[in-house]
Amino acid sequence: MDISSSVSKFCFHLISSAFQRCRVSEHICRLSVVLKSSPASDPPIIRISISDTGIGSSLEEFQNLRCSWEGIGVEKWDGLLSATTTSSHSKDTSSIFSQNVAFELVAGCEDVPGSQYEKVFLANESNHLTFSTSSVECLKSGLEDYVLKHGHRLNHNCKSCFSTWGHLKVGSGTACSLESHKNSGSGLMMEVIRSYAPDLARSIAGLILSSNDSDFQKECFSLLGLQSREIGEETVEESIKEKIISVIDMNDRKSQRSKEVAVAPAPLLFEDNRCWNSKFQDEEYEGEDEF
Amino acid sequence: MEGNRRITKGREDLLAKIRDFTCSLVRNLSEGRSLAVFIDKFRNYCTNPDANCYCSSDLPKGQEILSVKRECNVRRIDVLLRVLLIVQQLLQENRHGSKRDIYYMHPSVFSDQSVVDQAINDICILLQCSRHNLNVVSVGNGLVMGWLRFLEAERKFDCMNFPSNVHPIPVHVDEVKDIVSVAKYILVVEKESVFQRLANDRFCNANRCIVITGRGYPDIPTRRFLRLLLEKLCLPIYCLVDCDPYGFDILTTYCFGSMQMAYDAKFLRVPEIRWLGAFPSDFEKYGLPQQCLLPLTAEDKRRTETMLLRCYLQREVPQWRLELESMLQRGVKFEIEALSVHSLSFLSEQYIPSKIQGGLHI
Repeated sequence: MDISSSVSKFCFHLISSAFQRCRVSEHICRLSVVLKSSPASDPPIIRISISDTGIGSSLEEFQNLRCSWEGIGVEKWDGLLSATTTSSHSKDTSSIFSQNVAFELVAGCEDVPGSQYEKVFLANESNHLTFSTSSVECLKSGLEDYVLKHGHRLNHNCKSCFSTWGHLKVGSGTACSLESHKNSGSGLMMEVIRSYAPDLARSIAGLILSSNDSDFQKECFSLLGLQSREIGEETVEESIKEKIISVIDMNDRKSQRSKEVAVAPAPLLFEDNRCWNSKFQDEEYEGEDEF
Repeated sequence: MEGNRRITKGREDLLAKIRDFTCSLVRNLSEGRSLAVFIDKFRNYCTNPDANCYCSSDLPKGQEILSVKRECNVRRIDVLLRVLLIVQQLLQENRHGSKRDIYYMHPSVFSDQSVVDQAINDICILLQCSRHNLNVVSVGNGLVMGWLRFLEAERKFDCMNFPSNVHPIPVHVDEVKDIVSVAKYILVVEKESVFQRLANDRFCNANRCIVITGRGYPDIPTRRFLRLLLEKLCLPIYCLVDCDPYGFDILTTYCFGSMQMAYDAKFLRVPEIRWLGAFPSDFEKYGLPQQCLLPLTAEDKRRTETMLLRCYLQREVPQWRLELESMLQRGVKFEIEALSVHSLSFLSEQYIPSKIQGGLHI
């Protein structure tokens, strides 16, 4: 990969991130691309600045950057990326398709006064959505927009839109992986679930062993099939862990069997269980989390 | 205050419930059945336009089943069991801990305070109790002043002689006893700044009342304390908030409780509370200057539209809904402090007393 294409790819990424930040923001935003050259300096420098007044950036946007610098000699490129943000990531995506971004392109030579060339224009969006448009309408409109731009190339990863979907994630809920219901990739999911077994076992064993009720402890030991001489923290934990793993495996076998019988798994009713009791429907300004 | 959920408030009762829960887990595992935890779901409102929701009832609305079939569930069960173990230890030793203390016991596993908070709420639902029953307490944030006297675990709070002295609201509301008051009403104010304004103006010297602030969003002790005062003193309660979506949300939190604590709403809400001000219409009525008005931001508008969908606004407090709609239509908001623009003491000497005497609350 030569210098110019990797640099342009890199800049492209920065510009598209900036554009997304602007689109998501509810205010009119400016996206500036400024090229300043100072040929008089040694070595000659071109500084490329991409800035925006959209929502704040987050670390994830930069973590996904994979820039191959192999073709570039260290003496030619200092590769300094400086990122500053003044606000935190907004959680609002309902206005993602609004018409609010103005572009400013500036190119000039530092050493030559009056050499600056500027052009300002609005992002050209064909839809007219307001903030009170329902999310469904916005989504529909956005999808229409996408299809019109890209035809029906579903497998084509459009670089001009979103190069990574990562930074469209909002909120902090734990999304449930659906892999266990899709294909044989469920093996990985089962591994993950099995990895919790020792911790679960330790907690349950702790609940039994730290209890001050000895009758309760005896009952639990007998349920577990442990003889009194066997009882120690490790044996209790091991015994519980084995049972948990066997239950997990049993669930796995059941779901495999149901796939073989070609029974569709029941629709998942609760995608993100975490959200029900907290931050339901509309977010509260401050939950009880402070206290 | 007694209800089904209070049957298990004693420590021994709760410990017995924890043992039963653990036993049932062990039994299920030993019999080769799945590891599952059933958690009732609660909400104090919905945004369903259908008038047949049953949000006003305190019954659970459905049940969540956490099982080891799904990774996010397993993680939640793991957190729940860890917190339960800590709670069992707190109860057995009769020590107290805060939610933050619990978080710091396994910070790498818990990853976020909200994860711990959810586990605590889940445990309260499972054991059918309130958070303080688990010996999980928090630092209190509320303040009180006025014609009130009470004991809190042998300490005496006597504001009767100095009604404008400010005291923190006690955190262990269970231990508040011997409440005595000669107040005629209770005034709840949203912000500490307004509370201090009233203290400086010696509002309670001129008016026989009790003034409380949650300093923003009211915490659990503040809400419980307010409820306790209502039950013991049976006084009218008036609420003074900023005329903005934030203030309105705080008002509804006092009145209906928060969604987060919906499972305990019965003991935390004060449905008798009256909205004293500030209304959008107060702006003209009291001749506030234009520069006090701020435009509603897009975020404000979005929040207001979402709040307007809450079912209890239609059902229980339609007049509040009208005022909120008016705020949205006008597109402006203002703070209580705007009322001080005529004179610093306008709030204490004119606005509040005249509104209360004139019955100008909804």
